[in-house]
Amino acid sequence: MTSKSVKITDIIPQRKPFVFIDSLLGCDESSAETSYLIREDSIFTENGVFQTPGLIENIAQSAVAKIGYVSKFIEHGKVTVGYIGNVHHLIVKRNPEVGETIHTTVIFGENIAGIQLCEAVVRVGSEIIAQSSIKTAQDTSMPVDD
Amino acid sequence: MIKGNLYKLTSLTFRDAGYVADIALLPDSEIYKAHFPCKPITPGVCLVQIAVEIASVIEKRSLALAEAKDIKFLSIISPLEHKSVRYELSKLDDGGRWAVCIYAGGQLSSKMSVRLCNV
Repeated sequence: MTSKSVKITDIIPQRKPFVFIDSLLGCDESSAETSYLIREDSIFTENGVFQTPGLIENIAQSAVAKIGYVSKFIEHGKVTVGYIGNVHHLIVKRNPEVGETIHTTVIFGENIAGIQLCEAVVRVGSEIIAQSSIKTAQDTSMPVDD
Repeated sequence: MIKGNLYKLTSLTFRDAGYVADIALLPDSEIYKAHFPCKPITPGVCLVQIAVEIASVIEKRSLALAEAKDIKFLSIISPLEHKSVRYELSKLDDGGRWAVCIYAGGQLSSKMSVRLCNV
């Protein structure tokens, strides 16, 4: 896996304040890893704790970042809008707190008719705090302008 | 809490062993400007957060999402096309398990089976 020093909003369609990853640390054909510092002023931070819907969005944006990176920098196309289709077997051991940095690893499974299956693990340091399967879909009819 | 930012709770009633809540989406929310600049779409995770917030109103205590067995997003909810959205929530047991169906424009838009816990 190689390091990707790109601006995150160049490879995902979401904009602030709805951006829940800071960096794409690396990606290859079948995986991606991102990092995100939990902030006090985030939409999903309550009483210093980052809520689970924010973790789901972090996982989805981690998957979308790899897809966007490939679209933009390898295929030289455009980043497109993506949606979460399904969240399956989400288990949260604990929610991260303000000041902690989460590292999310996404392993890409099969892609059937444009629906991408992903398995994700969210860690703080070496501690696994959440796991889930998600399915995402890209809407190629909606490219995001630079 | 995204109540007041993304939506307003307009009604909440108990009916047929479950709860029916109607919400009004707020198209001017900063969330819609960010998701996405080219077209406002209600983020699926916000639909989940709204379910947690409605359940918290029902239970009169702060709840959080602990687990999701399954969450399906079947269709897109746009604040421009769907100003009103209906939630049907059923409490399945005393262990915090809930089933939630979300309807927009009379169509089932999302379905979730989740476990909520006390904050």
